[in-house]
Amino acid sequence: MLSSSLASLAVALSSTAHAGSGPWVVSPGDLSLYAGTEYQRIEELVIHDDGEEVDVIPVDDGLETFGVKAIASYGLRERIELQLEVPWYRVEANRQEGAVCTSLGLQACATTEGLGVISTQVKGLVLDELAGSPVSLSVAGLLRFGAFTSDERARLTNISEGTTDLGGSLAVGRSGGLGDGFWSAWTEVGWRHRFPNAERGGIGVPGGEMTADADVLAGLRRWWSIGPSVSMLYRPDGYDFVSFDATSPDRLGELRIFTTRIGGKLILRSNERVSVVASAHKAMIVRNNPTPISLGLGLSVQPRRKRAE
Amino acid sequence: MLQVGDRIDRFVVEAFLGEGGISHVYKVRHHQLGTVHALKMMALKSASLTERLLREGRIQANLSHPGVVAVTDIIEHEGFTGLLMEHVEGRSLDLVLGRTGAPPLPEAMALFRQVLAGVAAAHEAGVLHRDLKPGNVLLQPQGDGVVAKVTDFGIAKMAIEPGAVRTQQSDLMGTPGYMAPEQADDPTNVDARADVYSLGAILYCLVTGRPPFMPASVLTLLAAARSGDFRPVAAVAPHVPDRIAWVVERCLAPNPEDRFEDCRALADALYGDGGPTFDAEVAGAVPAVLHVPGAMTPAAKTLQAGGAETAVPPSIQTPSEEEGTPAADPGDAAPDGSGDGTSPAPDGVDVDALPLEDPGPSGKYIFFATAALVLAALGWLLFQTWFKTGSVVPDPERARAAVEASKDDGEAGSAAPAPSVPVPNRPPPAEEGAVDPGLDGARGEVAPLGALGGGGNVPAPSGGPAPAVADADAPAGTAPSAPAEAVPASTDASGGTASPAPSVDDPAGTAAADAGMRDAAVADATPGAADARPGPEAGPPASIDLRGTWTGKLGGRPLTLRIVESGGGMVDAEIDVLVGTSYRTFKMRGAATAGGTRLSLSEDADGGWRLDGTLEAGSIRGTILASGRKRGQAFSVQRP
Repeated sequence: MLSSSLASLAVALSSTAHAGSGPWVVSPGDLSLYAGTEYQRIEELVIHDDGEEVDVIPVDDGLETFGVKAIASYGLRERIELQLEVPWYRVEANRQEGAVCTSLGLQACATTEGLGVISTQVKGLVLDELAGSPVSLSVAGLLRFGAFTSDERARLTNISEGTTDLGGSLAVGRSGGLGDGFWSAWTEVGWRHRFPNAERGGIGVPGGEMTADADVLAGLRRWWSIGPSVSMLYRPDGYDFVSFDATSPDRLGELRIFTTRIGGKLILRSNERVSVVASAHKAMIVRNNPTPISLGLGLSVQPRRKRAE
Repeated sequence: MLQVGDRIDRFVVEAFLGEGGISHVYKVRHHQLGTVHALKMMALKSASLTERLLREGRIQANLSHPGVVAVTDIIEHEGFTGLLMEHVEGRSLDLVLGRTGAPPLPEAMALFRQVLAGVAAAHEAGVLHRDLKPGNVLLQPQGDGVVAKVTDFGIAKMAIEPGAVRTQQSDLMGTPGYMAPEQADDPTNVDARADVYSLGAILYCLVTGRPPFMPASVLTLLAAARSGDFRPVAAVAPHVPDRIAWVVERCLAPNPEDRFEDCRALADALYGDGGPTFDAEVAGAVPAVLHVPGAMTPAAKTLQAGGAETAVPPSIQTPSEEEGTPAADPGDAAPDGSGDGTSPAPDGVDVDALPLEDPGPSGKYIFFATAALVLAALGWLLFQTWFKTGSVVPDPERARAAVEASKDDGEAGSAAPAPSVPVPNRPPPAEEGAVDPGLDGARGEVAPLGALGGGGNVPAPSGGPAPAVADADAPAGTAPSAPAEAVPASTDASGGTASPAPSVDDPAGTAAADAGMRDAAVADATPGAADARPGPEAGPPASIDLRGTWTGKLGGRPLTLRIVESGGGMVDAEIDVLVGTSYRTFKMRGAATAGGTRLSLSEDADGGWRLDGTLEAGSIRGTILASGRKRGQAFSVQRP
């Protein structure tokens, strides 16, 4: 869940695999740390009206996002994990005086820089494949805090929409051997209620969002895995781009959006619980959203804890 | 939502008139006086939105002018706040224009004069409307004509006191097509010329019957407004005098510098009578063509999110906004021109020239520095993985094990007791090569790892059959075998020669030949066999040193087993398993029995995980079992 998209108009930052993805958890007292960078480039917006795609417009010379993300996962007790995610982003337009940027007003393409949505979640492993269950299955509760992104929420270059969100997710996965290598597969679906900033036509703005992610990774040696990755974000309540209220600071939160990003991930592992994760995604099925290319690169470390005497 | 007949304070609801994003409007009647009013009730309980509504009420209540819809009271009902307003029995200008088209030019100019007078009155009171449009002009029937009244000051800006009222930077206000381009950029830094722009758009509608901008989407609309790309009045309505067309087009100039500076200048240009006065006689002369009797439709558009919802009261301003926004100048909205009404911004700052916020390039440095660190780590990882495979972590135990293994190759076959090898950082055995028979000979006793000489660290492959020991949970081929390090000749199933090895105790009730002893026979660990003791001819008992790092798999998943001795004959072990995207770690403690060839460990913490394994052919095989489970996962590890 935490690896899901950055929820704003620029919804599609890379869903980077890290030690906290999937249903799996770390052991009690163990700490998993992830630090990574993300890059995203938006060149086009897909515009819908009355449910139909009506236009794909270039966003001037493009919007670029540079992100740094830190994620810590801590094993609270057997099969229960606490996770904290702190991202930081800089979003900028390559040409602020372009037609789209100037038309939308509200400093739509002004450079935005700062903390993203800080998220915390508690994940419980309900079924444990190590204990003999056919799959690993976890449930998680999620709290996202992004109020500090409120002032720039009307921008195309926003970081988020200034809301606090509560959510939950269900993840299922399985891993195993592949010759001398290793494979893992997982999928996760979640829902987050976004406490709205406003209301329009009886709809809270922004509305709740459904997320889904899936990865299949495999490698013929234990030190690497590679495979496809899919990520989806769906906000069912809202308005199409043509009819959104461009004058409202919550105009982007009003959008009814859907985006599916398809790509791949590569994980390299050392023998010392250090992994490097690289990912690349492209938004393929989009509604009222951009079609970015996203790249991610990160380092995941699970330091060994001292034995308690 | 109120129902007809509901009693609100001193008023009774008579009809529902319309709704906007945050409010509903009702026709209400004072139950004693019988007067009719409009009641605009909040639809949400929101402190900030309520404050906006109250602010709108205060502004309109203080604008006592026939061209402005009057607000007379504030009503509280079940926690919801409402404004009691003058009830206008007509329709909004946009609905009328949509139905009848442009009125004759004289009537259009008469109506516009009323609108202009109402806006000028607001400016004189230090208020910028910022959302002027036909939908916010109500036409009240009066005699044979109508009177135009400006309403919906929900997003108005007080400009009378410097810095007294400003709104959040991101609050875009107004309506595309009627909103000045600079207002789209920064609604907090507009002056009277923004309202002049909107008045020009309204006048365009009045004389042509259509809005100045009619693009397909909001994006293109805003772009057209910014470039001044509208059809000239003369092209749409050739009958309109050039002077009026010129006035309209000057009002709609994208650059505020090119517009009339205030309502007075606009009125002078249009009417040439020196001021935007409200002329009731003119109002009465507005023809019936615009008189559309019926209940007032307050036009939901006037209440939409772009209106009252987006206004921000002064109480929620932040210090940063105060610092970052130029203070308003009372002169910038002064209709009499006494103030600096011509300056683009109150303090002389050109709004259009204001640079967009740019935090500077520092953020990129953080990004690239982090990327560089990650890449460096990647390089290190690849170096470790590709060029130092198998020796990622220098392990003296492993090196020692290799030495022991080579010794075993030469010595194990003779079954001669091998002297133990001194272990760095550990006190040597009390007697080199000798073992306390009480430790390894007795049933169930613990053999301290590495403290005993004997079979070596890595036993060579067994030369004799080593049937798997029955373990219901372990899959075929991975079932652990319990070594029999010393078996009486009578139990030698293979016919081999019994080795004078340390005695074996197999608490599980099974035993197999010690793989490290090529000549060792395989034996069932019958109770009798379990009681076997080395004969008097047997040499010092041997033990296997399991310490070090072992790698292998647990159900196919990468597994690392690190074994250390914790003293007192106990064994500490750490198990890493890669499960999906996480490593699971189990800290276990237990004992190595049977001369160090059988491990029985359980988790330190309360997780309840347990490991049972047996050394065979250089591998430790066995199961890891979760608490409360009957079936475990088979594992197998070897020294890298």
